[in-house]
Amino acid sequence: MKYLPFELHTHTQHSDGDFIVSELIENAKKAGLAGIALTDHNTYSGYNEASDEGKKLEVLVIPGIEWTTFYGHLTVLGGSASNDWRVVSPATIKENVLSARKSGACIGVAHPTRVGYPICTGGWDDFLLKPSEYGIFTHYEVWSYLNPSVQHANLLSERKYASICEENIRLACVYGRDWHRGDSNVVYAATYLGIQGDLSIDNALDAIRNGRTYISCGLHAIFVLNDTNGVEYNVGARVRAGEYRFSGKISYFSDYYTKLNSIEYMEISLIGNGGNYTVPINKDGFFEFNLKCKEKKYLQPVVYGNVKGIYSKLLLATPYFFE
Amino acid sequence: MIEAKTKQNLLVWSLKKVFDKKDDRKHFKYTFLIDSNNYDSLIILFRYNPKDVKVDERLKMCLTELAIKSDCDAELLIKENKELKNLITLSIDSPHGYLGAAHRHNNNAKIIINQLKSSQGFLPSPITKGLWAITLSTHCILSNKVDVKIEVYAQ
Repeated sequence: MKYLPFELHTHTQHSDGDFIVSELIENAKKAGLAGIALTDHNTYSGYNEASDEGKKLEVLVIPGIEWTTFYGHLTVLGGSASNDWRVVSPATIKENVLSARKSGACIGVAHPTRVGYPICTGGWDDFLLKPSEYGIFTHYEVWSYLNPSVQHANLLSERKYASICEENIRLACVYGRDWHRGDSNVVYAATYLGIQGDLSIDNALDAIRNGRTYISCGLHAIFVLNDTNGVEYNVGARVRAGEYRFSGKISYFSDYYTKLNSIEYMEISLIGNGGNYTVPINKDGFFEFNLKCKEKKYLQPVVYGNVKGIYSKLLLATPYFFE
Repeated sequence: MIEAKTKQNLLVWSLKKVFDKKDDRKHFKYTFLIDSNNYDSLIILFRYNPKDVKVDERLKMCLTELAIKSDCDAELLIKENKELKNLITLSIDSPHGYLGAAHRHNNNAKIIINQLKSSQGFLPSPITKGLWAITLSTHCILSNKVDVKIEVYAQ
């Protein structure tokens, strides 16, 4: 299992991006990404070129589309192109999403708390679903856009995501840069996907479907949750209630990004309705502690530290769910 | 400006329409018939006006409501948005299915559908005989009136 960085929300001139397709792939390569999802608004027309360019530069390109509806934006990754974004509304959202998933797609809510109409129609999630109804999706863009760890909109998304987790619904925690142009010297994050086997579209989608994800500003993480028999579980796993040992290692993704944004990790927490544990991460990046969690609760790994001198969350993972 | 048609182009469908606020956030589907398999391309000229909308008292109220909903500063939101934009996107369905959309703020667009290469946002497609559809999606109609003009030429 390898956790590899992806950008799952990108645009080109095939919709309203400034990037030509090759520029997007070149920028993804420069950023050290293993892959992207091309999610132009309401079109797949850039995918073939993106896939070809990706093969040249060894950047995996997941076919995708951003259903840009009046009631919310949804990133649809993989699957068939047969579903029609124009029929998606609060009245039909459940059947539309389940139909897309039946075709093999992962589908999730993009920037759920961005300012919406009349500035950005559909920027805010207006599908009017209760937290208990979000189980139709596979992922949730907990962080969006630039400076993700300090954006007020993302704090609102974190709260909404927590309310969904409290319903015992597992959605992969993902980031969407909503990458339209080649802005430089900016703080951004990536979604790390836990890839089992070769780096492929199917294995990337499998990671999202099973919640093997974390989002981070410049940090790479290894998380190990062991039960008392030594069995190891990935982030996003559904495990039995009981006692566990949580350990791992945090490291910096790249010297360049770390220096540019003054990234410094400090503590790690497991937070959620299953408890609140916090320990320091030692200078070599290691941490470990014991925990106990009751059934129907969740605990989410969160790493804290500094980014450009501001203390904030640097990493969020899909929670462990205790059953 | 919409370009004048050339001699080789056959006007197969056109639309002049005025949208107003009651048409906001709706889809308007129009169909037209292509009567032959002998065309190489469809050329769609799509224009709407106005694009920019000055924020008046009514829109200030709208932004204030948005700020409350989004838990952000209303004064700042109004200060940062002196002008807003009407947004209408155009999507196309061939007789065989969805080809794509032009989801961008350009309000004076020329879209070409061709079996080898289409305009960005649209899949390449042969111009097959049968019923084609253009859908206008009014993502944001803020002006009292928005004039829309579409001309479809077969080549």
